[in-house]
Amino acid sequence: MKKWYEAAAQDADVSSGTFISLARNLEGVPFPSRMSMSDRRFVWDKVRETLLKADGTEYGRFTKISLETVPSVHAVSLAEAGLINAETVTDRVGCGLITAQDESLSAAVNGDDHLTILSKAAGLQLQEAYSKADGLDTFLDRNLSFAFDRQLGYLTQNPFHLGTGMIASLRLHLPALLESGSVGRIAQNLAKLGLTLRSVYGSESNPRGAFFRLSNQVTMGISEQEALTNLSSMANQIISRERKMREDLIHQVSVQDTVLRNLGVLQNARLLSFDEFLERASAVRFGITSGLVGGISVCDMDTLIYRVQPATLTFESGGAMTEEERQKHRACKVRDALKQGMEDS
Amino acid sequence: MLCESCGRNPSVIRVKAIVDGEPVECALCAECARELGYANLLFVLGFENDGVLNDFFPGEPNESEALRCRCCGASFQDILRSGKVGCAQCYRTFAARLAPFIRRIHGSVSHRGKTAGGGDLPQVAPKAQLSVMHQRLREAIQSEDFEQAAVLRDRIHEMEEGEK
Repeated sequence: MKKWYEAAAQDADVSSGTFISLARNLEGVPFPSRMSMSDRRFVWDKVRETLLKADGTEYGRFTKISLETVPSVHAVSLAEAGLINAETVTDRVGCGLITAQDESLSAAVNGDDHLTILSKAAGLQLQEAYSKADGLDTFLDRNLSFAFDRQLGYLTQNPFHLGTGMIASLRLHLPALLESGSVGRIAQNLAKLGLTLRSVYGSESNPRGAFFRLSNQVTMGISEQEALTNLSSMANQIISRERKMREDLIHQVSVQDTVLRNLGVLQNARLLSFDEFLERASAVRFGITSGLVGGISVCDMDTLIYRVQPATLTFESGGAMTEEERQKHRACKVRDALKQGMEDS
Repeated sequence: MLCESCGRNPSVIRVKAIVDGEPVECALCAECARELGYANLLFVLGFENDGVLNDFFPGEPNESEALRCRCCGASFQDILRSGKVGCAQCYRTFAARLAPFIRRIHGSVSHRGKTAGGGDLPQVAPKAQLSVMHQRLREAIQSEDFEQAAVLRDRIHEMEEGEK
């Protein structure tokens, strides 16, 4: 079964993913930080019972994963896929995950809140992703009755998420803006508008690759649609600036040389750390979207980035690995993907 | 210790993250914690330990410790200490004390968006919570989970007392 990121989508040259999360809690049950084991099991059982009522529908086909039964490397791979949080990885008793086969729609149970509904889509598809999250939210609410206050909105463990409980994000690939040194200034300006722009990999002081997450920060006093419109309008401005700068950059011989050297390393390396892979994959992805590198799509490249994350790679390979074995396996997967693409073209 | 994300500011909070396929703890400054979605009430207050907390509420530490939420048992100090609200009922129990913090976080205390129950659900009454808890008590007794049944019975008792 293909995952959500393996679909071609509009604006995927810059936006490599759309994410909508909704924080929800049940009435009459303490929030996760104060839950007893019995409370956790109660909520997890309720969610599973609710899905039984959806037999024959999309929700009825969801996979239900009881996290305490999965090995640690599987749990970390779920965190790498963004399906559960890092906190849950280390304390999984009574926690669960329900997810569609392609992972485009899921809900983590007893993580930051009783339910963290998450919808994901390739490219820039805020309305489509919201509509899927909203549908699951409405279905679950009908059966579980979410904690809600007319004035405060959805009641959440963290008061920063009160109101809609919605965080909408776009994963933007901004190699040209990063190269020009303007990402920091853009992030500062966005903060004034209630939006954040943060690097996805590495730290702020040392980002890996040029992947950034643009998200809304305000959840109260603004409707879901207003928040989506704001995010979309800022994203469109950033995307057009990135495209304009890429056009200018790709004509420079030194830039072409950098892109193709990075491609050469990925096609030939026998050992690849994830950090090194990210840096080089980011350059090659830029080369693909600018027409310099052929035979592989941005979608294939994004799939590769998700698949060679450390725990995901280890889990999908079926066992424990030393760091060297992991680097060897990663290099092999990357060579195969690039060879495949080049041969197909 | 400096923030492990920006490398500039002093760290104020430790959070869990996944690095190189392993769960690790990271130290973050207030600014990075907020932007990365780890911010909690502590950051609104701008302090992180009980000493400062008592300075902030010089006249009422005992009072704020004495009042506890009928549903989850959290005191207001528990909420401030952890930065996490204990349950939905806490928002009602500590409504007046939480309001200034919520206003500082959001600049507004007025939800404009989707309504739970599709808009036709009246605001959840404490009675609805009680009926959920009565149902859980019945289930706990049926499954012979008497320890949980005792906890639920006490919670229900306290909530019913509070409603009188």
